[in-house]
Amino acid sequence: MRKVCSLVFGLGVFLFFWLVLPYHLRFHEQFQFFRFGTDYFMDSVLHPEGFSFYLGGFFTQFFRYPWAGALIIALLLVLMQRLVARISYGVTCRVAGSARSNTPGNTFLYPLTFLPSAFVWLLLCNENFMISAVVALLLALGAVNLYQRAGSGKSRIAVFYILQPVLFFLAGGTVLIFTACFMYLEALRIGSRGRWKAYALRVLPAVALVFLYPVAVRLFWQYPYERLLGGIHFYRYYYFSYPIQYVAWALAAAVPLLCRLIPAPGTARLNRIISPALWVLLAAATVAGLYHFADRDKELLFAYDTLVYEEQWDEVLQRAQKDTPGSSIEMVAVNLALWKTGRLETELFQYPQQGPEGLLLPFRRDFVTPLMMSEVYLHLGMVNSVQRNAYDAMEAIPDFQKSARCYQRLAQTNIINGHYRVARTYLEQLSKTVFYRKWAHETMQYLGNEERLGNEKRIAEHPLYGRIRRIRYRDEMLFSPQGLNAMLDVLYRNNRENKMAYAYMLAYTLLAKDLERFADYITLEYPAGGDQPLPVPYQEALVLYWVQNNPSLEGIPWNISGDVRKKLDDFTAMYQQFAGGRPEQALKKDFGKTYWYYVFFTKI
Amino acid sequence: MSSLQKYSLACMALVAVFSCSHYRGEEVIEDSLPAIWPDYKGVTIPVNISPLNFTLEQPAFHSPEENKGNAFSRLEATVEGAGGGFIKGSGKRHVRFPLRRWARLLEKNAGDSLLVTLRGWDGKQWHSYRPFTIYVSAQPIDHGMVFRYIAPGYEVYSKVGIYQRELSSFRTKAIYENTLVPQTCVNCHSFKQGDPDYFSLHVRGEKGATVLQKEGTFRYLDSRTDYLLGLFLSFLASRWTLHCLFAQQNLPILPRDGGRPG
Repeated sequence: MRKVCSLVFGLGVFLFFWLVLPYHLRFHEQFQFFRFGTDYFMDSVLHPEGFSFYLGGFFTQFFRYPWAGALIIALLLVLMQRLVARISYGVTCRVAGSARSNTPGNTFLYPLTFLPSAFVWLLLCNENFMISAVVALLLALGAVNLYQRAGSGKSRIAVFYILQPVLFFLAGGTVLIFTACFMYLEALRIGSRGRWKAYALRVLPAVALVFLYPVAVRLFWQYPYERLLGGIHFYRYYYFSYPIQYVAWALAAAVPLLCRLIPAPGTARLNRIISPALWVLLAAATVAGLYHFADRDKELLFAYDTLVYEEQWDEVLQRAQKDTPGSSIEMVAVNLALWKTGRLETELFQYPQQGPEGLLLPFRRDFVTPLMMSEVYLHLGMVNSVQRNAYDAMEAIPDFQKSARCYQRLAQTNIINGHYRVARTYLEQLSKTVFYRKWAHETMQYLGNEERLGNEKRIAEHPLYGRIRRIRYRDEMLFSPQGLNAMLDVLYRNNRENKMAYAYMLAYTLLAKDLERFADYITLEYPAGGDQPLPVPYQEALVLYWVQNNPSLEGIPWNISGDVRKKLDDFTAMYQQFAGGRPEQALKKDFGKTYWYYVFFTKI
Repeated sequence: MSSLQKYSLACMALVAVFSCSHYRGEEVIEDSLPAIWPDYKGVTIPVNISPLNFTLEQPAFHSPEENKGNAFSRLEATVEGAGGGFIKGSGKRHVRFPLRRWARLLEKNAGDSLLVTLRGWDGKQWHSYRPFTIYVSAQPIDHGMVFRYIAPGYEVYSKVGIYQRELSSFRTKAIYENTLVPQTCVNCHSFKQGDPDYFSLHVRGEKGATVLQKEGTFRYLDSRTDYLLGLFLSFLASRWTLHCLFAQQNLPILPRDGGRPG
């Protein structure tokens, strides 16, 4: 029955992360760079808490496939529950010199053994709570188990004092859980015999030592005392405290004690009621907690980022139609997907545009935004901007980790720029991974035998590298956040094949409501007087531009369809009808997806 | 002697013989100087510099599989002093020399030169390159140097630190790392004419401070001005952290006379 309960719990965890938060797992994977090899291993483990960090990284690399990540988390949490259960019930040690056995926990409280795992499940809904924290917690519980099984004499105490510093170095502050368990398990062993002096002699050094280990470690590594005790690698934002995680520590230490201390109810009937009631309560609390902790908005954002990285453009647009994009970074993904599916020019205003920032987001010093922008710049052919954004995104990862995704991007930009030796260094590191190894070896084919010359012909034929080499800037270009449309202009004029630069330039001016410049740029591809059909948003912008300077559409030099002309009349009439009131809502139904509505009612 | 002991001795002798020998066989003589990195060919070095380990710039192939059989799987270098002495260095990708033997060889050849011969094993035979010379100056270099270690990013930094390196070895020790006071950056650090008794270091950031050491006494400067508001804030907490750090690091570490440590 107990195994079935663990199985059901594990299945719940697996399904939750696989189906509800799969992109949270992808997010984890993108901001780590686990490599096989002695260098990385030694670099990692020769630091306080380094072993749990290394193991955490090892597990996180599998999060590239959400089902695998969900399975790993489920297994870790089930293991945690089993360990807590084993500490609570599994071992009944003989008390030295007597036939009495140490009191095992009360079985009616068995549901409580799920409490630490369930709480960690909630914590894992936060994308910044790291897997190494779970690993460290497991190591601590494993150490408690080892100590419990170490017999009943002095050997048990010796095992504790050997494990304590080792555990501190491997798993950091979770040694507090180990020490707390040691304290009450030893107290329970003494029981009513009152050998408290012996107890104090055993326990007090352990308490003192646990606070002295960080002091010793600080002689060799530069970390704040409180971080060494509270966790260096447990939360992505190293410099922020995440106090709620300590509730999980407290639960892991307290549940076995509660199972032993709370007496069984007097009547069998009550006994039969309490256990199911605890199950129901635990299940309800977990579901409510998941509802509270799981951030669907962030999941959507991570989904856009991953889908753009994987170039699943239709999926991006389907999501945008299902859930309205709420932020500029999401609109960046949607607009890129629109371009990649050939719909940017015609369907730009079918989605809730939020200004030019929804097209090209200015640089921000975080590790998410520049990654998305590096994708946009890559497709535009702005190679150096890709490199800058990818590099700075990686450097901005708060826990000082590197990113396999960024390494991949940096290898690509260096190949495009002809810096093959630099590209090789990135590729060599990627070849030490499980999931990027194949790609790295394939990409090495493009480096060629002559390092300085590269395999130019093959690169020219490559669908990405070759295309970007043709459409990128010809001359030095200074990146200007204030003059993005001018930069796109230069990019387009450098190579008229770069239609994306042209479309983005027009879209940028439209979103910035800069009709003068739009009318100027439009003539580059759609000369005045020509009968080339214009996309509807362009027509809407041009008629608006025209009527601002002319009494009617008479003489407009562009090919404006009858539908657009009629729609403008309707819009004008309706706008006048609601003049002085609030026409926004009334116009939204019929004109919400027109450029006019965007111009008049969207604040940028 | 029992048969077990005899067999053990025989095995040990075999292990000893084979571990000390290398396959000599036929050696291919390359009529060129090796393309080593860093390029130490013909340079003059101070007498107390750390071992000049190097790697050979080999032709790069498409993949590790293709590299097999085309690139050297082992490198070996012999260094012979004109004034006597001889050491060997080796490695798979990097030639590394033993620290103490290197130091003795340099002392013995101060004011003279060293002849370095590099060989590479391609899996079948050795390839030997033309030897090159390294000149040894009798003048020693400073005991150490202090530097900032930072990834060459654009405007975002990750882990940053100021480190000191002993130039006669590879011993490096952190003076300050931004893991200690999070969200800080370090840059400016200087000594008065190379004297570590007079040292300044500025830690930037919300919890930053300027540390000034003068004749062994630390001071924390509040250099905040109207123009630099926010750049030179010195918080009491971070002051204490920094004080602990520097007290713990036991500065000055670099000796005043600049000589080699005993």
